[in-house]
Parts: sequence; structure tokens; C-alpha cells
Amino acid sequence: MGILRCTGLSKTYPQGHVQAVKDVSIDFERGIHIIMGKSGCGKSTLLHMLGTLEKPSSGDVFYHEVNVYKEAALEDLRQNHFGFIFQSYNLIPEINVRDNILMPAYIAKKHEMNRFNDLVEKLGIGKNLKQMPETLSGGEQQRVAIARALINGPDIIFADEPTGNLDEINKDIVMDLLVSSCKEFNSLLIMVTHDYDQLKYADYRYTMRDGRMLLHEEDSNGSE
Amino acid sequence: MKRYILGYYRYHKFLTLIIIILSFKFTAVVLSINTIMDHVVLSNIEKLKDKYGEQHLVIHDTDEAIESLIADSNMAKKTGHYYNYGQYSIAGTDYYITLGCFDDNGYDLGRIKLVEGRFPENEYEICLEEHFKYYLFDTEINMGDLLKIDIGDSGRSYSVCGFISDYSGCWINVEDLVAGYNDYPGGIIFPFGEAYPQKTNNMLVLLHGTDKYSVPAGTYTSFLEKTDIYDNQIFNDDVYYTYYSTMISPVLMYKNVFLILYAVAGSFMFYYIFYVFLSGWRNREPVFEAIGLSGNRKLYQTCLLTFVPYVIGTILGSAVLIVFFSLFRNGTYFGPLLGTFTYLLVVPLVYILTQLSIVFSTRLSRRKNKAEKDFKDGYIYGLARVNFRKKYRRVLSLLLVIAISLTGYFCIDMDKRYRDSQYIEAVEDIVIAYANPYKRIIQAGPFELSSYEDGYRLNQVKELMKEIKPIATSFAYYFDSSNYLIIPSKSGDRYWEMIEEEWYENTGLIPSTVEPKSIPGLGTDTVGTQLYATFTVKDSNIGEFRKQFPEIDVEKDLAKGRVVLYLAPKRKGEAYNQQNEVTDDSKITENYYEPGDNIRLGKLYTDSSLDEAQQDPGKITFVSDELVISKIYREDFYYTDSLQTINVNLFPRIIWTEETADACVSVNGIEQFQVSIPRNISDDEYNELIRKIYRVGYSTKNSKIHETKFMNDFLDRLYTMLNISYTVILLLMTISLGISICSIIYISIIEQKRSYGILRILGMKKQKVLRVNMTEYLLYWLIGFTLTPVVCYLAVSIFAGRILHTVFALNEILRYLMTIIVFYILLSLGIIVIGYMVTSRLYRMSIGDSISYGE
Repeated sequence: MGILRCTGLSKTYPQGHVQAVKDVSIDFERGIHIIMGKSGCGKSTLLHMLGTLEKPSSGDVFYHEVNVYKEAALEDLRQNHFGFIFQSYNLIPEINVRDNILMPAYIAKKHEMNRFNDLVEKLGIGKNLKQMPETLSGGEQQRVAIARALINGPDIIFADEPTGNLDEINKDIVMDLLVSSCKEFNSLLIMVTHDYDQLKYADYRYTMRDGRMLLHEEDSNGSE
Repeated sequence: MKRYILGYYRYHKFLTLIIIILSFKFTAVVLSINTIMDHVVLSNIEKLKDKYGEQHLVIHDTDEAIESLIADSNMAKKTGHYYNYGQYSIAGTDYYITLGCFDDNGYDLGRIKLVEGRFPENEYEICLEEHFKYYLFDTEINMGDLLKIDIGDSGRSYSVCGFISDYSGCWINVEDLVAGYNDYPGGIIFPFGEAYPQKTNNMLVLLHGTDKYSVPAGTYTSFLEKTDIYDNQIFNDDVYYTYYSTMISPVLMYKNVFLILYAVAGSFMFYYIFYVFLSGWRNREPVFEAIGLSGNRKLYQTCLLTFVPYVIGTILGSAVLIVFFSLFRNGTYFGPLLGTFTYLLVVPLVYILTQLSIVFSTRLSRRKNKAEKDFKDGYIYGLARVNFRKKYRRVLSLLLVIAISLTGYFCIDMDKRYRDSQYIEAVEDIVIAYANPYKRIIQAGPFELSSYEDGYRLNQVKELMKEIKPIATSFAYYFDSSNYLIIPSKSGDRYWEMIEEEWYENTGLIPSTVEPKSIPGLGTDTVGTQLYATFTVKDSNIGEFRKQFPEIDVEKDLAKGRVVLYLAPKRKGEAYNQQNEVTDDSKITENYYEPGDNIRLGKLYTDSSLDEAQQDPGKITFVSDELVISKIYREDFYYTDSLQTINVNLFPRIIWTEETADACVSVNGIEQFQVSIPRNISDDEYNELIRKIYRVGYSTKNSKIHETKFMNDFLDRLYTMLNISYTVILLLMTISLGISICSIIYISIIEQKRSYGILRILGMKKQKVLRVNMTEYLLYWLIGFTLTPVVCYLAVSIFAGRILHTVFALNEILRYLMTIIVFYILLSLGIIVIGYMVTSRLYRMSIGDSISYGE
């Protein structure tokens, strides 16, 4: 059994009766998982449901075999076990970079200064700590978001199009940092993207269309 | 851009709706304050006009030259006339009646109301004032009865054809009154002047008012300057000065104060709402800049976004108010259009000011560098502080809305308390009868003579007083103003010189009309002054007098023929005209009187008519009384009781008893008497009493009766209306404030939907978000709690000092402080409830929805 597992996951939005995700079941082992698909195929919704940001209409998500929507404290999961990265960074604009990174630690009442220093050094954002988010470039903002996602040493990082707003050079830099950080800090990465170039980082690849999971490949062990 | 604007409203539909609701509410309250207060003012002015006539002034004894002067000035909105055919005695009675008539405009302007019958249609008909019907005769006069009036040798009989409500008694400016010349007619006759020996044409003038309240203010002055008519015009003091300035004008001032307070509070409120509403647009501005939107168009866009919902709210507010007031219209003056001017001024002004502040503050905040922030002292406080820094301007404006609203409440409360303290609910109606002693005088040296009939007969008044004593209290003013204090021959010092200087400086010399030496007994050496005063100790005040002046033995010092003399020391700056400069008190209280000396009073007297006396001064006699001075006090005389307060001491004052005054031949008349009638007596008792008073009150020429019943009823009505109006306004302002606070708290939390979404992603629990909100609001609470008393104290102090001319007392300060504390306790409870509700709502949303907000 993997760290995270979902079974029969579906999401229907009441407005317009749109079924964004249809009956998806996946078992996530430790590694880099990349879910591919065109815009609107339901991959972000799936990611949100896996990451407890959006409740599924049906189906279950299990984290270490605990049904997250029925048995787990969602805030605790988000505080200590999950980290999130978004295309639009979602940094808190009113506070500086240092506080943005440390905010999950503040919330979880953790003192993660060693990890903070490691992350800041690894991601190369030490010079930006006192700056406000809006003064940073897109690449820098996303690096801050990665640091924030990793600060509490989560088991799983959920990344929603993390390079969607970046240029080609920054894309690679950010992805390199994200993947290497996840590996270094032993976090499972689940990423959704429509950029096929990113597949090179994947240990596991998935393809979605119209809310359904079409293809599941494992990089090292060949196709499934 | 139109599509964008519509899209913006759709996207921010909740905020758009709040702007509409708030501008609706703002317009409704502005219109309500205007309409309600205008109704109070105008309905009361109307009440006054009904009583005192609508005309601004009356020009008596006009001629064609004056009429054309007025016509040429173009300052008169409407003119009317009344013709005075003279005053005559009613055959077989002690009463006099002034005959005359009005033209149509005169009836309108004078508000002459027919209560029974009709106006005369031939020369032998008469329409009388109501008091003739009920009060003056043993039997009631009815329609068709004959009234014989002594005109000419054989008299003239009139058939009574109607009655008009009493109005001529309102002509209370008795000093200007000349019976049969400029007074209002009590008997309306058919215009037919041949039979009457005299006729004056008097003109009622309504000027073009400077405002809807028809108060001429500067127009009146301009009119005088333009026409140069000063001598024979009488301003309608009661409507446009006495009542208006003391009772009506303050209401207008309060109205303006409330409007200003509400407009300022409204501006702060809209500043807050607009700021939040436009935050989305501010985020989009760079996008529009990038696609080539010019600076001016950006500004236009900014204004348009807030303008449309503001105008929609304003139109809705106006429409609802118009419908409301139309449905509940109560009289001509209760209409929404009354507030149009102020409304048209205030509502757009608030919008413009708010919009300018938004544009200005947005530009200012762009120029500012962001301050560094850290979270050393805990992330909950840190986040709250961050939110506070982001919103402090808006929050400050909300706190000012609260402070100003509370200020409005305190001002209303203070005004009400102040009025209550000033206004003692009338327990008595006072009837005052005046007889004018000043007209048609004969001057002989320093002495004046007015005819015997110009005053009330002493015995008659005393008899009345005795008769009504079981029911009402009464008070008479002796006719001492036509008496003279004969200046002692051994004096001539500075004291009397100063008194005479004051006299001459203030009134000017009246040229002698007869030679003093031609009057028997007067001679040329007798010098007198009217500048002295008396105080009469009577049965009604003897107890109080003894209490206040224990050193005076009434039986001994004030025995018949004996007086006590108070000589007010003349001091620098205390003289009547504030010009005399006396530095040494001792010199001006020299002993020209000693206890045991005589003091002499004198007056000119005639049994003949003034015309005859003028022709033959030998018919005038000089009569005098000598009284013994028991004691002399060289100090000011102060006395007060329920009927009178004496605290003006510019001249010598003689203290005597009623017995002494009555015995003086020089004191043979009463110029005024007043009767206080308790309000709890029955209508029959009241009418009977009034009958008696009227019979004496109208028993001499140049007499008029003034009743305070109208004033008491007027004040009751005005204050009741004001209290109701204040309650309604306070209620509206409270609802308005409640809506504002709820909307603003709600908006304030909702607009952080995204931030809270991110925090939820990071694992923050609901209780913690609530704590962030509560901590943030605790900061506002603390600032508001500190700021509100300061703002309230400053504003209410100004209101108390500048407008009410009173002191903001410590007990009031403490009471208002307690109110503020209670308000803030309630506010904190409200914040907890609303904060909890909104936070719960945020947590019911999906995080995905939260973080997409405002992207």
C-alpha cells in the first residue's frame, strides 16, 4: 500500500451539474507523480481532493490507510503532513518572505529554523527574506512557495501547475529545486501540469481526460 | 468598458449591493432629517403667522409717495392695507373700539379669520373681534345686535354681522401703539370714510424672503436702506424676531448640525466601502494600463464604478421617501421636496469628497514604501497587525462614523436636557394688560404729561385683583414712569449729572412743547428725572421681602409715607451706556440725602384732553408728594421671587409699601397689570376670569391684552414635536449605524477570504482564524474606545459652548463616557457574534473557492 490512496473519487459541481472528476482510483507510492492533462480535464480538482482542499462528491482518500475525510483531522494533515504549491504562488502578500515561509511552522507551533536555513540556502532565497512577495520575480515567488510547502517536513507535496507562470529557464530551475528538495527531504510529490516537458521529472505519470484517469505509467518499471 | 463595469458589478455583487443599500439609507436619512426638521420649523412658523399675521412689517399712515417708493423698490412680494378710522368709545360703556377695515390682501396677510357671520356689506354693519362677543358685556353680543359707538354728536349704531378671531391684542409692541392711528381695528366696518373724523392708510408688507422660512433677515435691512422708511414702520417682531430667533432658529441650527454630522459620518462610511469595493479595480489597473487605458479614463472608470450603485441607491432612497411622505403627508409643509436643496447639495458633495479621498489616498499609498514586518511576537497577533495595517485608514473612518454618530446622539441629548432645564412646563397662563402712556405727550422742561386716560385707574385694578385673588395671582406695575423724582436742590453733584448724561445720550432731548413757567406750581427751578425706580412691598411679597431684607423693619421703616432708599453706587463700566468712567465711588454717593430727609415725587396732571392742555397750559397742574426717608443704603438692590427678579440697579430705587404708593397723588394710575391663571381650573372658571380681566384691561384708551396661553401652547407643541423628531432621527441614525457596522465587519472579513484560504491550506484551524479576526478587532476596539471619547468630548464641547451657550458639565461628561463604555461593550459582543458567523461561513466554503477570490 502507498502513502496516499484514493478510490472511486468523483467530483460533481452543483452549478451546471459538471462532473469534473469521474471515479478515479490511484495508489501513490513515495516518488514524483505527475498528472498530465489539458486545461479543464479535472486534474486540479483531483489534486485539491487529494490534498483535502475540496471535499469529493463520492469516493475516499486514505493517508496511511486512514480515511482523511472521515477519520482524520484535516487541519492537522495540512499543518504537518501535506504541503501545497500553486501556479499563482498564493503567498500572503501582506507579510515578508521570511514570515511567509515560516507561517506553517508558526501555525503548527514548530521551531524549524535549521530546516528553514537549509531550505533558504538550497532554494537561494536568503537575500530575499525581508522583501515583500510582490517585489519578487515569479521564479523567486515560486521558490518561496516551495520553501513554505516544505518547512514542516511534509510527507506529501501537492503542486498545482507550479511552473505555469514561469519562463523556460525558471521552469527548469524551479522544477529542479522542487524535485531535488522533495527527494532530499523525502517527500512524495504529486504534481499536475499540462506541460509535457515536465514529464522528465516523473517517477509516475498519469494522464487525465474529461475527468477520467486514462493512463498510469511508472518511469523506472515501464508502462503499467 | 461598459461590459467590464457590468462584469465588475456581477463579480462583486455583494459589495455592489451594500453600496446601493448604504446610499439608499444615507439619502433616506438626509431627506428625513431635512423633512422632519423643516416640518417642525415651517408648521410652527405657520402657527405664528396665523396668530401674528404673515406680513414682515406694517407701514402706518402711508401715502402715495411711500406706496410708489415701495413699488419701485421691487422688494415687496405682496402688500395689503388696513384703514384705521379712529378709536371711539362704545356708548354706555367704559370700552373703546378701533374701527377700520382691510383690503383683500390685507385680510390675507393679516390672517384675519372669520369665525361667525360675514364681513360688513353696508355702512351700518360691523364685524367684531371675538372678545367683544364673550367678555366685555354683561350679556353676550350676538349677530344682529346693535352696537352704538360715540361718533360725532349723536353717535352711530351698527348691526353686528360677524365675528373674527381675536388678533389685535397681538399688537403688543405697546410703545409703538397709537390707538385710532396705527392699531389694528377691533371692529371691521364697511369702507366708508366720510362719517369718520380721521382715517389712516396702513400698509402690510410681505418682503421677498431670503429663504423658504420667509425670514427677511438682510432683505429687511436692504428694504429700509432702499426706501428710507424708518419712522412709521413696525416690524412683525413676534413672528420674525422674538419667536423665530429664540425658538425656531435654534431648530434650524440643530438641523444643520445633525446634517453636517451625518454627512461627515456618511463620508467616512462611503470612504470605507468605496475603498474596499475598488480594491479589485486597483488590482486590475495595471492590466488596463498595459492595454493602453489613459490616466483620465482610469480616473473616469474609478468614479463610474462607484457612481452607478451610489446613484441607484440615492434614487431608490429618494423614491421611497417621496412615497412614504406622500402617504403620510400631514399638512402642506410635510413634503419631501422641502429638503431638495440640502439634499441636492449634501448627497453629491459626500460622493465627490469620498471619491476624491479615495483617489488621493490610493496615490499616496502607492508612494509609500512597505514597512518591514515580522512575527516575533506571535503569528496570530502578527497577522492581526498585518490586517490592521492594511485596513487602518478604512477602520479609522468606521471608528469616526461611530464617534460622530455618538456625538450626534449626545448633542441631541444635551439639547433636550438643556431645553428641559430652560423650559418650565407652564403651570399658569399669564394675561397681561397694557396701557400705553407714551404717546401724545406734552413736554414741559424735563417733565412730560400724558393724558389721564392713558393708564388704568388704580382703584379699578385693585378691585379686580381683590376679586380674582382666590383663583389667580396678579401683579400691577404702577404708573410711575410718568412720575418724576425731584432732584434735591442741595445736590448737583456728579451723580445726577451722570444720570442726566445717560438720559440725554440714550434718548436725546425732547424739545419742550409748553413753557414750564406757564404750568401752575411747576416753575422753572424744579428739576426732575424719570431715571429712578420703585419697589412696592405688597401683601403678596411681604413675607419674601422680610426674608431677604431682615434689616428693614417693614412696619417702622416702611410705614405709610416712609420709604427706604437704595442708591446704586456708580462704578466704572456699569453705567447704562457703558461710557461713564468713575473711579472714586465715595464722591458719587455723597450725602445729598440723609435718613430723615424728604424725597419728593412729582408729575404733571390734567383733567382736560391733551389738545386742550396744549392750547391752555394753565389746565395742567403740577402735583407732588413728599415722603420721608427712613433708611438709605448705598448699594445695589437685589430681590427675586416667583413673579419678579430685580437685578438691574442703574438708578436710585425707592422701596415703599402699597399703602404709601396708593396715597401719593402723583401715583394715580397703573400702566400694566398681569394675572397668572392656573392651568388646572375649569373652562367656565377660566372664561369667567378672562371676562373680568378683559373688562378692566380694555377699559382705557390705547389698551391691549396679551395672553401667554398661545406662547405656552406653542412651546408645548414645538418641544413635543422636537422630541418626537429627535426620537425618529435617532432611531434612523441608530439603524443606519447598525447597518454600517454590520456591513463593514462583514465586508472586512469577507475580503480576506483569499488570505484565510491560504492560511487554511497551511493548516490553520477555524478557532485560530477567529482569534486572528478577534485580535484584529480588539485593536480597532481599543482605538475606537480611546478615540470616541476624545472626538465626542471635542464636538459636544463645541456644540455646548458655541450653540447652546452652556457648559459641558462634569456629570454630563461622565454620563456620556458611561454611554460610550456600554456602547463599546455591546459593540464587542456584536463583533464576536458577527465575527464567529462570518468565520464559520468562510469555513463552510471550499478552500479552492477561497483562494480563487480576488485573483
